[in-house]
Amino acid sequence: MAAPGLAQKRRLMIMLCTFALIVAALIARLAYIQFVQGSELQKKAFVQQNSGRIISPIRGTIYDRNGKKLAISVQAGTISCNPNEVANNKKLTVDEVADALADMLSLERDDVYRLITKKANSAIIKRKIDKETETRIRTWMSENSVKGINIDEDAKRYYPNGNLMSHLLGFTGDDNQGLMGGVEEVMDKYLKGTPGKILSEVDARGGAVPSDSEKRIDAQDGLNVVLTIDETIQYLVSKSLDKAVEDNKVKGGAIGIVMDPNTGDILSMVSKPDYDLNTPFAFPANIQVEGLDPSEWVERSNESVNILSRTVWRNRAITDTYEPGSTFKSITTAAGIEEGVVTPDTITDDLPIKVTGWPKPINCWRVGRPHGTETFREAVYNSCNPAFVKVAQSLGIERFYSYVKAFGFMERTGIELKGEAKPQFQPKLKEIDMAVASFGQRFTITPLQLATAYTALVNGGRLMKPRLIKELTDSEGNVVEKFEPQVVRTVISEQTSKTVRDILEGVVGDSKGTGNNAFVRGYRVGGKTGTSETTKEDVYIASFCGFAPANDPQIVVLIVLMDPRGDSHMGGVIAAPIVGKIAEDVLSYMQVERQYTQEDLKAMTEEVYVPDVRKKTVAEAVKALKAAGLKYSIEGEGNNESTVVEQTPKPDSIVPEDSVVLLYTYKPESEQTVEMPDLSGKTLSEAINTLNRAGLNIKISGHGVVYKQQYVAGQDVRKGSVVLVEFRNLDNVE
Amino acid sequence: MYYVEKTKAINYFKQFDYPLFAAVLLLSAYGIIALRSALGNPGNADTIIAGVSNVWLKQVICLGIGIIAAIVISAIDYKDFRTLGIVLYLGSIALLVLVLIIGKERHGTMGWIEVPFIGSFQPSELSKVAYVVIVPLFFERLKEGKHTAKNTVKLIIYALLPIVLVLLQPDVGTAMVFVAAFVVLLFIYGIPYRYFLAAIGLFAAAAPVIWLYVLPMKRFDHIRSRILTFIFPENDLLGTGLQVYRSKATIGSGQIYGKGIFHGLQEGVTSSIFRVPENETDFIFSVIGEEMGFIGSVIFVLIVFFLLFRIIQISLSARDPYGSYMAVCVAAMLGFHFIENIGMCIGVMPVTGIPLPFVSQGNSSLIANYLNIGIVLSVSMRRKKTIFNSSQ
Repeated sequence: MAAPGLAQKRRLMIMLCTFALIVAALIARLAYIQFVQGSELQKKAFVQQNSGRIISPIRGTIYDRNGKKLAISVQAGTISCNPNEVANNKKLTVDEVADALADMLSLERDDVYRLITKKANSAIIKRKIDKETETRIRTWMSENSVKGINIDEDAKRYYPNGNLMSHLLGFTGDDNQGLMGGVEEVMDKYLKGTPGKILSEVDARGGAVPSDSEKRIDAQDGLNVVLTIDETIQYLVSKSLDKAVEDNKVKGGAIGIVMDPNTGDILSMVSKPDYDLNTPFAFPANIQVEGLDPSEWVERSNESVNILSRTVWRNRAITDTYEPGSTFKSITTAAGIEEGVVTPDTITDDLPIKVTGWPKPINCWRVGRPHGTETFREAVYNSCNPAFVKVAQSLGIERFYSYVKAFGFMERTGIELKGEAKPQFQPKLKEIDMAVASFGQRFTITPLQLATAYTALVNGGRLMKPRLIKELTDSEGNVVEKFEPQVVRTVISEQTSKTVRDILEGVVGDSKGTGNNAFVRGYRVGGKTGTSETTKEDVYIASFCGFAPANDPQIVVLIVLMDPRGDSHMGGVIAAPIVGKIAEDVLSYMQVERQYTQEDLKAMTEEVYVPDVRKKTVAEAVKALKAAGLKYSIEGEGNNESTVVEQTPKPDSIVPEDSVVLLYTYKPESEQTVEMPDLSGKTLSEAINTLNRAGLNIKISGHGVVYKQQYVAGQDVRKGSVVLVEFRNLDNVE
Repeated sequence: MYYVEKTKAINYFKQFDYPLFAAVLLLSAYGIIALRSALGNPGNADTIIAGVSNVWLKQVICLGIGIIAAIVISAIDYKDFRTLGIVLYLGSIALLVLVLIIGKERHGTMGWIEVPFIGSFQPSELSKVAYVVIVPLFFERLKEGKHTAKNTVKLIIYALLPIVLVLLQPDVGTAMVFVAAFVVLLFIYGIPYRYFLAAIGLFAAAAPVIWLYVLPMKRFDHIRSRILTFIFPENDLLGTGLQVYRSKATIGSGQIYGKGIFHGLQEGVTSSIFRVPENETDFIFSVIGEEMGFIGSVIFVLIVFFLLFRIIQISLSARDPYGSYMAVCVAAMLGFHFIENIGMCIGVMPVTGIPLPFVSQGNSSLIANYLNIGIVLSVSMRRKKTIFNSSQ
């Protein structure tokens, strides 16, 4: 076979030479673009000139309704270098620059050296340095006329309250963009502002930037966002929930919402467990997940982010749906009264009731001993299911569900947060669905929906859109945009609302009411208990939705405890007292005046302050104690002229009238102790008597029968001490 | 028999064209780095392995497949391609027809066939391999003077058919690759210079007619606009003019040393305002220019030149005309790709949608290029100096 001939060889050489020529031309063109045209292109397209030299705008601050800072941006510099120029320093060598920078920035010297000698036009040495370091570097630069080091403004986000607002705010990512569906993300477009630029001219070889030729386009800072949240109320709710979670061994999370029923303002929204916004990726020490080991925790790994999103990052107030249970009976009540199918005085009963499409009759929750014939008002107090089924049946499916819809249960509330769950109803609503829906079963809603519906229930009938964002302000504090409260629709009449408030106040205020444990002296709390079953066996949700004061509601408070594993899982036992406590704390913080009833005043006069009788003679002391309505007992030798050395209880303790104060005429070397008696199940008077017989005094909390005592039975307690005893209504409490 | 087999095995490693293969691997390394930079950090939806884009991963896998394929092909004596070639050619023609029927459109070209599990496949890339195997065969027959008339007709039909089919997609870029390879083969075959001059004259005369009557046709109007943009780039700052403008600005910003690998503004697909459109495919050279600077780009161009030089060297000393023509065909195709692609990135060539071999994202293209390199390796290992050994 013939090899390539001579002619062909010549032509192949021509081909090769052509390639060589073209390649040479390409290289020449590259040189032209990268050296000659490069500098010109750099002037034209400043984007290319200023990689890494963009001035970040300062992200807006997030305030609570009273102007307290919830999320702030702290000024922080980013320090970068131009390696070509660093090498051109006259006073310092590159090594000296590396040493100095490493020292001031607490970095490894070799890392710094690598960056400032990099074959590139610009390299970032460290981000988010504090003001102090920045000043030190600036001073050092001017003292040594250092070239090639730039400090650009940047900002980092800081949340002064750590965990307190975790779900409401969400955190920001590395580029300061809002995440997690909270205010940071939803309001990102207002908060972020517009970046500015530093334009500095660079020649073809990337050198020489005389600092005076720096041109800048200033950044435009982001707007501030003012929330409707009250930091103090949020704190009160958060603390109460922490305690409730611990006391009741709550495993599935807890939710607390406080709203202003007149405006729909969210005053507080707490979801537990929560996390620290300043360290959102850290190991969640506040939860227990099986097989989760802190030493194996890898921040930002897919697995850890997964765990966090399932647990602490979850805003259960809007993302979890649950069956509202008996708390929903208030809605059925309102619908029945508005439509005139029932009045508070209508005679009804809670005997088992049959419903079409269901094999078993529906019973009252107190199955063994139903309440029997009663007025509708009493049926609400007792939370009797059959009575509500009857109301719903009188309304009929269409009318009943038109109210469910009107109260906003069939759509999302539209709050300014991402991730709100959709309520779940049976696709085709039948008789049995309505019957059980009348007492809050077989459909699921979010806690926020229930609280929102209660605004309409108690404010005269107007369903409010939950408002979380109050206004936007600029850096000078001028209001740029205001978000007004929005009425979604009118659901019931003023009169019905008043009647419902009256009944619900009775649920709490009446000593036989199921919500009695939410009672607060003087604050007229109304509300409804709820104990919901879940699809899992033995997993309950205890809740209470209340409002106060009943005659002119200022707040709606909803507490939901998911999967409590303590002594009780009943909403009336474990959730109601929290609502009572929050209502009391919040209203006194809001300086709402208490309205005492005669009964309250009587109960209050039964409590007295212990006067200070130390250093007085026994005769004087006895006189003072008698005047205060207290009894006494003298310990030790002595007559009326002896001096009282010590007293128990201590001065200024609050004790019931007729408590015994021990007067010591000698300095007790070892205090006398007595054995703590067992008070469980005792009524108030029984408890007082038992304690007094043992030589102890009482401090009362709540009412009903003894639920908890400060010291366990059998423990040695100093004689005359004040023992805190918690009472709960455990009898007729759902 | 045993002895011969063994000798062949030893010879394989001895004869293997390491310099050629090293050059190709270096270009691939550029490609893998530049592509990683252009794709940036992927979103969660686009990744199986954290932080690595699926597109990139797939390209790396195809690179592996390509390398293995090239080595396997180099082990086959290319004389067998004379018979195998026709099968490959007919298969590729069938696929080119199939793509016109069931193909998927991208960027206005019906060039892709969706294959389950594998993804999409570009038949025109495979036809480049078929072209390399089949067209030189007829040149060889003509060279040897067998049935001149019959083979001339055959040559014209075999060489033109793929061109017509890719023009129907329409993929003008690939058609130009075939035309370029054909013209270079004619030149090397020894067509007198006057014919070339005549052809150039004819083209010059026909140009106004083509410009006025052919290019305004809807099928080709984008070519006309690209030529216009090439001449007046500022007229189309939102389309291909923007690509070229940004590409030039980006390469310019790399300056002498570049911004460092993964430090260019081209990194990542999110920072769209800085980005040269399609910087992971046709404009990937802008990433090299920006991040590796003048030095990195020049080294790249020099490796390309070495590759072309080496293939031409192989052609010069090939065992037979078939091998020689196949090498020329590969050199012509690759050369055209490199020159046109780099040329358009630095604004000296009009924009044509053809990839930068071994670098641009594109699985079919990468594998096809490696198959062609495999053929050249096969030719290289059986050059004249090896005749003595292999005939033992």
